[in-house]
Amino acid sequence: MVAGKYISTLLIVISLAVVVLSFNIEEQDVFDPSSPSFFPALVGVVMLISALMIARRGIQSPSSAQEETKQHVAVEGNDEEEPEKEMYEKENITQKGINIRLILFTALVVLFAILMNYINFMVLSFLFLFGSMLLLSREKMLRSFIVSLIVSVAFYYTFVHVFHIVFP
Amino acid sequence: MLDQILVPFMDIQLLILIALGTLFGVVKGLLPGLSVTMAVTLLVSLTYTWETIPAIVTMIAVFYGGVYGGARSSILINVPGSASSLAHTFDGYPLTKRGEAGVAIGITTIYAVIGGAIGLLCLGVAAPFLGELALGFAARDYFLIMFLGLLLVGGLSEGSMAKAIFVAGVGVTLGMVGMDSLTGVERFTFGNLELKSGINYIACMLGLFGLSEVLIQLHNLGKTKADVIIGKVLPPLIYLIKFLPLTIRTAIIGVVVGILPGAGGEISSLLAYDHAKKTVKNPTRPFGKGAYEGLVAPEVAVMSTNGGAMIPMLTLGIPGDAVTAVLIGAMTIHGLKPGPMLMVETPELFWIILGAALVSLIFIVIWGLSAISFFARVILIPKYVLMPIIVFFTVIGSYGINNSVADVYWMIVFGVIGYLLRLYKFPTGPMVLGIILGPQMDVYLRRAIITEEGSIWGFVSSLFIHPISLILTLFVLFTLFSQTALYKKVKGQLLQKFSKKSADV
Repeated sequence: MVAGKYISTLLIVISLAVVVLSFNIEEQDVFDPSSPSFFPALVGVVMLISALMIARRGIQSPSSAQEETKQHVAVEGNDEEEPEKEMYEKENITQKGINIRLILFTALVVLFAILMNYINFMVLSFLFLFGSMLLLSREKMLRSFIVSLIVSVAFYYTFVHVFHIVFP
Repeated sequence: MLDQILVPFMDIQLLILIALGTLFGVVKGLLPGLSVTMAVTLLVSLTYTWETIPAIVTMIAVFYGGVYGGARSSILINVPGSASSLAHTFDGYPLTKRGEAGVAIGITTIYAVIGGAIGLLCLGVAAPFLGELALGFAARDYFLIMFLGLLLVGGLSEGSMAKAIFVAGVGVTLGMVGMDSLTGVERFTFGNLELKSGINYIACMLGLFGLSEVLIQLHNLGKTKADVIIGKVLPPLIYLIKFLPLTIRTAIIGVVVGILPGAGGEISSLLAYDHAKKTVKNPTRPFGKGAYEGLVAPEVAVMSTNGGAMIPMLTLGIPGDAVTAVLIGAMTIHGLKPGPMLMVETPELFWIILGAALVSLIFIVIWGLSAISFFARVILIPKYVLMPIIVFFTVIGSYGINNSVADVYWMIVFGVIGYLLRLYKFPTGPMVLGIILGPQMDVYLRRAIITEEGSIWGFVSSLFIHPISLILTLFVLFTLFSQTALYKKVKGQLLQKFSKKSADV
């Protein structure tokens, strides 16, 4: 619920920011309905009302929200049927492990974007694919290497010759 | 008209593009978690340099193939390939457990084509009439339809309406970043030159639908536990006749939901499933235990929704769902203006789109009923291989539209935002509609107010004077009222009374 409070506050701040920024649009009267600042301010107010309603009800924590969805799906499917078994094997990983994986993976994507201007695109895409596959699998190095190589080479030529993309 | 419908059938280049587009859609659709919206958005970017007709036709093929393909993973591994194929898990997966995966796939393929064809028939009949009617729409009517669309997507999407409206508001605000098209005034640019031309919504969508989904999938990289027996593929022919009334009823549900701005296949499929459960007295098996009717209803509804969603898209320029929102963007990029004038200025394009969708349905049969075992194996591609490849595509897609790395950064930012939204159960669809509809709503509202000589009261009273505006205003008011506690209380009481009476009888 603590996370919920932070998020509710954030939503209210965002809404207020939209309202304030609408008032600051240059040389425009926000109360003139035909001015370019009228509609943004109106949207900001609607967002603020929604944010207050969300704050009143409280934000679900991610875990409870996921559980609720599972229950909902089971009810929609069939009331008498026992819940279906999970079709994905449950991975043995802690929440901390998931967070580290998410941060590292996002960092790899950011790095990919930053280096696009400096490294040959085909080489860079191979390095990104191989690196991220290794990060996610931690083994199966040969398979990751082969798949990354094929995908980066094949799609490079497809993008250049079929879709006419000019890489940096 | 017929000549133009036949263009995609006769032109070998278009045929190949539709065949490949449908295949790409089917493969993408059966990979859980990857939305059709993302696939079409990716194509908008990649086909930017193509001529208009091949580009639009390919996107239509991916749209149809993707919506159809979503059912495959629902049936085989009990994981919906897209939001619109959740209802397929209810009876599709029990069929797989019985060793009848082939029949389940056969049924979805046949009824996908029937549903899709009914949707296109409705599109072909209704769109020209609506297009003519739309020529008489005033600016306030367009504003009302768009507003209604945002409200509907809020009311019908998962989670609370307040969350959906907030997210839509963020989308509308983002859509207004840049120069105002009426006055040239800069809004929310903070003096930044790059923001002057607005935020690239393709990059934004690739982040919201592509990267964010990958980040969610990274929570669990466990392998798929599928051990599928395909069995025979085609169901007995007698079922075609037996399911005909249900097919027609659910197709109507699909088309109507599709026409409603903002509501798409995820809603029509659940409504159709619920309808089948309530109306089919003697299903082939109990619902939830492998009833064929439980597959027919959502599949027909989902595919007919496509045709329905294209009606407001092509006649009013208003998206029926998230995918059609992207298609509107694609048409705009190619210099077209979806709306009433599209039917007047380039009627041939309308019929070519319809023809392309028909050809795509033919390829759905070809791809759908062949290589079933191969497709079953595609689902089993491990996530550690698939996720980096998807991100690779989103990076290229966001870069390709302007050959700009800045757009890749936007994609990453929106990917993270989308991830947080999903984590806290905020719907992402309203944001997309907001980004696309926001600037148009702003322009139509101000035009309507200017028509009333700048008077807000004049604008409000005009909503109740003109017949079309009055009908739309009543719809808007009812949608708002339907979210109040009073409405829910009254509805609950009425339902109780009704069920008591029927029990007495």
